[in-house]
Amino acid sequence: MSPASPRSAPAGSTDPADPADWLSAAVDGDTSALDRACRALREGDERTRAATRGAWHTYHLIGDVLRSSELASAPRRDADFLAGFRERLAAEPVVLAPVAASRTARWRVPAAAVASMAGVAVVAGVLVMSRGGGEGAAPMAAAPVVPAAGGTTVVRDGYVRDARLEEFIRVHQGAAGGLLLQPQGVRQVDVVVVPAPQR
Amino acid sequence: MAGAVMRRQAGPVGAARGAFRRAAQALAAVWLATLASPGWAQQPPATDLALPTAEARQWLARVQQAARNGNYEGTLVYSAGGQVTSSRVLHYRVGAQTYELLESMDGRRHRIVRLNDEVQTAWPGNQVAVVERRETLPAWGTTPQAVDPLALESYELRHEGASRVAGREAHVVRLQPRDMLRYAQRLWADVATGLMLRADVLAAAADARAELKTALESHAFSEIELGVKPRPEQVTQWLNKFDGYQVTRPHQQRTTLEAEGWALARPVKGFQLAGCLKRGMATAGDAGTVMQAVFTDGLTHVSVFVEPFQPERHRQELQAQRGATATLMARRGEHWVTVVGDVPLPTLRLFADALDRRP
Repeated sequence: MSPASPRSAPAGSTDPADPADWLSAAVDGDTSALDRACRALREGDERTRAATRGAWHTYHLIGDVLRSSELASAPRRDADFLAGFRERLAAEPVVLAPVAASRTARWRVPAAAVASMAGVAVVAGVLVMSRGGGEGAAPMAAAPVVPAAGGTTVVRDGYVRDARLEEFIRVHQGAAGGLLLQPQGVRQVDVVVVPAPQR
Repeated sequence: MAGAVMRRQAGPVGAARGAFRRAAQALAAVWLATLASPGWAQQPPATDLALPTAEARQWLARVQQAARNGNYEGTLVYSAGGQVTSSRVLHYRVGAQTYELLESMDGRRHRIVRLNDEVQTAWPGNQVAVVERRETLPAWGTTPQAVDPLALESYELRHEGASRVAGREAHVVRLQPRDMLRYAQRLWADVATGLMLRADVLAAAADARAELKTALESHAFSEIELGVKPRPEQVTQWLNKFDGYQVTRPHQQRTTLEAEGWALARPVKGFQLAGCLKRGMATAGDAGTVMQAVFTDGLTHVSVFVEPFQPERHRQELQAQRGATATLMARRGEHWVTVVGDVPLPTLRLFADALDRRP
């Protein structure tokens, strides 16, 4: 189980629709999805609940990172936080709704910001999710590969990224003949999520 | 769910090589034109003068040639969406051999070593490397006339004056698209050698006269030495230095769209098929073979990747934008299509929609 990716839990792969998708839609304002997301959190099997909680957590982590790299915390801290979070979840039946985000100081992203981010998180992977921490990043970096839907999400140097998408872009650019000058480095990515086809 | 737009960072990628090179192709011609018409060199013509095609072609050829045959060392700065990263670039031509080294200078360590068509990409941070052969597609032959005349059917070359980049005098030109299917580019070519010093990809503007304000991405030398003494050992010292690395060597094989059972039912204006490959992907292990068809308009290119649809892997259709490079992933029946290119997303959509299965 990795706290890093909402896709890393296998639960979604057995469901017709991914609870993470419901959660994403819920945060985008779809009330019917909200019901389903909450049900997944309350009544889903263990894996489904873990996946949904993981997605919820991830959305906020993404928000933190996107707002400022200083808000990004080391993965260890996230894991600890998540562990505590789970304990509390187990202790009380919390109904998660977007407004709840402001209840916990840890989640500093206003609900509106979360809403825009949640949709993107569905892509699971293209982005940097955490890059804090130097040595502190070791626990996450030590897990070299996290299989995820939508591509292989790889943890490297404390980065989580969609290796598949990156490789497509790399191969594409190589096809030009690659004669020249090629800057590298962290790129900014804008992602627009297209609704998944109905299955 | 409404599509949400956001910015996120992605890791270092061996990326903008293509963009700069294409711009180099474009720039190549500018310089020749300067030679061809002395008046131009002495006294730049009025701004926004569209060059005659023949002259434009010469210009493009010269920039391309300078990029290919020059010996230079410099620092290349890439900026897009408020992010700036820089890379060290060494490029030597010794006889028929080309040596090239690109190293990221910030963020994750990333090194690309090229000896002619052999490309070795290494990420020292996590000890991963990809070794591949650069498949030279027909449209990118190695002869000077390889500047594709096709480009000037889709773009108009306009001289915009003179400027300085990295301490060197440069001609500024703009490649203005003749339609909305591609981006405009503004290029800075070294007056003395023709080498491209800076290239910006500009957001599309419907009106050719409209002020092009937004650069989607920019590559520029912040510092460069031209005509240096080649030091190929600086490049070759990294060749095959993979002790402890996990090295992937994806297979590649030429093929055709027809042989793979595909056709582009409706051609996308200005783009021609440059070549088609079957290739492995480092991230897919041995299992995954992907078809890559490359289309070019002479300046920029679009890759169409097709692979069998796998529900567990291909869950989410998506569109992504990184600098000028857009990516679109969509399902086509039993296949999964990924289209990548430095063109507006609607252009990628045209490719995805035009792809037809011909069993």
